[in-house]
Amino acid sequence: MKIPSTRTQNLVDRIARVLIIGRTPLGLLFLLITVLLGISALQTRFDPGFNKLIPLKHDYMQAFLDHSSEFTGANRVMVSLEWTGEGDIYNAEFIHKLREATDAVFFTPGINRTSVRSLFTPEVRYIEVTEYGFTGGVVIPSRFTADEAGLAQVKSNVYKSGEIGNLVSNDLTSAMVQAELLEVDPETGEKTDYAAVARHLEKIRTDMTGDTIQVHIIGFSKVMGDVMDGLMTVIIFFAVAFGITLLLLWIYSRSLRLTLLAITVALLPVIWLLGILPLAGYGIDPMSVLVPFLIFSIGVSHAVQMTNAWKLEVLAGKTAPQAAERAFCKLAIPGTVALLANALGFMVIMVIDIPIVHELGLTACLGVALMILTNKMFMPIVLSHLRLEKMALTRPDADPGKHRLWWSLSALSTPRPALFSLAMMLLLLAAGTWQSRALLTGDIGSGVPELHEDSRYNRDNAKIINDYSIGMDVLSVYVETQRDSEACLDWQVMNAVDRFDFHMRGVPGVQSVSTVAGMAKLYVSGNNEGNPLWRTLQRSESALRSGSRAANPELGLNNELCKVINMMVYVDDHQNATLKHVIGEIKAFIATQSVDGVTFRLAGGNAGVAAATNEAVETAEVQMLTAIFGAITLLCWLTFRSWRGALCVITPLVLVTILCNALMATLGIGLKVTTLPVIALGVGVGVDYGIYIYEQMQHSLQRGTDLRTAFYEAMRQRGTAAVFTAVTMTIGVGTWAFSALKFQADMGILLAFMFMVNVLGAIFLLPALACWLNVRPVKAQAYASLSAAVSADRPGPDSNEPAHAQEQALPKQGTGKRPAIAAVSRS
Amino acid sequence: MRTPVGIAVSLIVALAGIFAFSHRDTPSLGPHQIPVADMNLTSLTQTGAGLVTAGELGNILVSLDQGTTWNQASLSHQRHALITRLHFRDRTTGIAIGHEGWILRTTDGGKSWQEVAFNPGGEPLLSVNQLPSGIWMAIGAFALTMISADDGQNWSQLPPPNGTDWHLNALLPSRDHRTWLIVGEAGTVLRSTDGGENWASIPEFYNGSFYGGVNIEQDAWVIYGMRGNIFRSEDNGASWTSIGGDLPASLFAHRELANGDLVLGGQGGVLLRSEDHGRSFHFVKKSGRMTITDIVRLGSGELLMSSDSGLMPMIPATQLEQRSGA
Repeated sequence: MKIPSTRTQNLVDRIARVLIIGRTPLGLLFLLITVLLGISALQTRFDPGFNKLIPLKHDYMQAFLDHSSEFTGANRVMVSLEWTGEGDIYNAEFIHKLREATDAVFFTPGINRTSVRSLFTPEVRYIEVTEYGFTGGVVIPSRFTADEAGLAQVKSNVYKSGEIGNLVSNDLTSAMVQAELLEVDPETGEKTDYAAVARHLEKIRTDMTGDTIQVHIIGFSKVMGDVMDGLMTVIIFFAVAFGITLLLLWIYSRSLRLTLLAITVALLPVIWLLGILPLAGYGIDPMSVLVPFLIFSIGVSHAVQMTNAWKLEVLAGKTAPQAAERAFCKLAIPGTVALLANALGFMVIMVIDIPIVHELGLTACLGVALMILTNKMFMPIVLSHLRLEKMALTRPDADPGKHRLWWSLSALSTPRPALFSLAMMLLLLAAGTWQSRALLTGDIGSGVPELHEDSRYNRDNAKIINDYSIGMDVLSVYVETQRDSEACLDWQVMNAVDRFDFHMRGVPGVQSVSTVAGMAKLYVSGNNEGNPLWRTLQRSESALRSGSRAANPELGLNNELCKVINMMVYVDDHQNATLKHVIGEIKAFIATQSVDGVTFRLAGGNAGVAAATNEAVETAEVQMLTAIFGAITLLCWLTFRSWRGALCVITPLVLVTILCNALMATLGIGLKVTTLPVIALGVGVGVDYGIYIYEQMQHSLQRGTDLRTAFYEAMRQRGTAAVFTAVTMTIGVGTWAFSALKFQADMGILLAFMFMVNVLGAIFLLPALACWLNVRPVKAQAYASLSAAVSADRPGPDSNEPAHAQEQALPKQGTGKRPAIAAVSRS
Repeated sequence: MRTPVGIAVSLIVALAGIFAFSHRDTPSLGPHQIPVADMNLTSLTQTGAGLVTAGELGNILVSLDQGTTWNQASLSHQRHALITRLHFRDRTTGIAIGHEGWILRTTDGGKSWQEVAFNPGGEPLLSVNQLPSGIWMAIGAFALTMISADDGQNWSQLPPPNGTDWHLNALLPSRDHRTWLIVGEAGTVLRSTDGGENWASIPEFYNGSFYGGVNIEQDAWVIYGMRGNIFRSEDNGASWTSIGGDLPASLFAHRELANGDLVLGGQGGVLLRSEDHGRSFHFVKKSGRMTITDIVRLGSGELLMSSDSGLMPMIPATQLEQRSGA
């Protein structure tokens, strides 16, 4: 590890001087910034942005982005009314309610009014073939009276309209209103407000629900509305985490002032960050809402570090400003480097090529950078004005029980107990590795993955899928054609589409296929008295013309002139196994095709997006783990200059990461955009404990202490602090487990696991590995030369002088944090 | 020496890590299948080779296990045209006709087929049969008429019978193969009483389309068509009386049951049944949105039906009887 040059230290000293001399104007400046950014933070808005969730550079998504604007339909809203009374929907009360619901949906903000479909809308028609040709009409006539004859007429019309399974449920007890939502609200000219849409839909539910009528609502906008409602509960979690951290801090420091200061300073980077985001044009999305929690947790530990350094100086008899200056001098370099190292960890997750993850990484990096300003500069300014309470002046760490605990624990660094520890580790490893192979990529379970499976939305979703013949998971394959005229009148093109349609119908995992060719064949047959012997596409253009109404771009199966044909494959679900299988079959089919001027391109639809995301996540998983473990190994080696040390720290970390995968497999949490970064964050933060403990151990070893004593010393000085930090951080993210949003709960559980179990790995496995890797004390000369480089006026190794904190802190560059906490617990 | 143990443990963990994070394969959901339950099948018949069905995109399928599994028959040319009818002269020799004048011939019960005619962009053929003279005759849209005098190996076009230009939907033999009917679009009924040599129009008695019919016994015929229309003739097709039309679903297929009862099938999966030799029909069941195109009675007594949405689940013939009795 590089020892900071005296020049750097001189610079730090000068900054410290300036900081203390100019503390009043600087303090006011910081306060002003905080107030201004605090005001700006109130502008922070929720920014879900669908495109942020997809791997934009993936081939599938290139095709998707090229064509998705032409083939929307993804933003559909469905309001289903279920009749729970006697009989079916054909009764006066239900029909009346259905009309009301149709009108209510019509007035939803941002709705495309021409797209509203229900039994009451004019474009829903029935068609009959008669001896005289086609006849047809609207399903519910304009002069409809809800008497027996009228209802019987409607019933017959609905049957002929072919809407059973679509607008009317298969068992005839439900009927729905469908509508498309526009991206831009035509009335206001602004981006459609999903929250307002969701509120309006919820109002429809309240208004329509009665003794005999249940309402089920689904649609992307409703999901977003529910997600936003769920996000509001995040504030409660933050409050809970805040309260618990406050309590723990007080127990730890026994000083109300220091507690309040630490927590306030930890909050500052959060406020600043939230203030800067709107200014930079960013919003908080469901994922980056994690960042404030992380920043707060890390901020608390760094604040504790600074307050303790300061406290030790005060206990040594310095005045508050002097103590603040010295604390800054000691912690500026190691603290800053530690934070920069954390930022590096956040950057690694940016290998996941998905904008929302990039934004998460960026926001987290920004937060950490801000923490350098608030923690390292603002905090000493405040400390310089602070007076310590009497209660905190007594040393709180003279508890011999704790030492006994650490001493008995240190037995793990002797061969026999170490062997036991290693055996346990291999056992866990075997079980974990075996279980981790069951980890699935992508969404697990049915319904929308953002929400819990038993959420209102997903229950509605399941109900509608069950009652109607509507597929929710669609995979679009685009055919791009190069033709001078209408490509849908070219038999070569249509035949290719037709054969794709046929091929995909035979693929397990595919529910149904919808293509312009299939539709055209229906129209041809319809034009020939509904005779199935005509349900085909002939080579002549005139024959194809008889089905050309199917190529109406409004049906969403192709665009003008069929330049692009949208082939929709409805799949059973959007689980990775299904998607991979279906995509494999599609690719196999495409490989056999060689029609001139016809290009098949994967893939759109929600299933296409999911498939691309899964592929991106799987690629990124390997890259990310390689990057983070590579970086950390390098960091450890730079810090310790010892491969033994690196192994002691990295090995438990690998085990915990495997266990995390096993935990995911066990809890049914899929590897996806939201959970993959968690592993990197967990590793990045989790490595701190190991480095922290081994680094202190190395100091003792360099002084010639034996391994057990060295480990005991490390635990005594830093073990408590490490556990304290682990507990605060675990609680900070663990509150998420109770989120109404499934992915937040998943992230919370996994982060909490990583933070907590990594500290256990560092405490139980590190000494055992050190023992069996034969980590031994070094000669005193090596130690002397090192210490000489660090500080000339450093007191003796066993000194309890506060200056000792410096020795602990300095070598911690690029590793973790909080060395000074440990100093407090020294006896 | 302790160090090797520590290194070994670290190595094991590293290897376990590599294994744990290595590529995880997802299971295959199973091999690709012919979508027999979701394709347009127009014809279904029992041959010496087994069950044969055909339809969408020129697919001809053979089942050796009474419809449980299906395999593609081999075709000398695949034209992707819809096959509209299969007709077998005996257990082995048969003709398949389709759109664009496509004709295929088999001599092994349907396992392999040779193309004998194809007219790209031409009109569809809709019905085929072998006349008592041994000449094969196929008819189709716009009165397209083709014959083969060499057992289906070479085909030539003939002027339409009696100069008609309507779509001709079905070529129907009497039980003794002397009298033949052609039924078609717009109430077209043509009759030949000399084994298909000469044809005469029956005066129009209905203006919709007929899709099929059957000679019940001696001079009694039933023909059926659009919107549930069923007509019966007692005088070998010279005059007809309506006996149907209660249910406005077009009828496309029929089959005689073992006891002589007649079953008709059509749009909406509708099945009608006559227990009085085609004098009256009553509704038995409907199945959904598909249109029944053909019905076969299996040796086991079950009925297997093809539709424009694929093969339908088999139903025991007894089930139809029970429904009718209820």
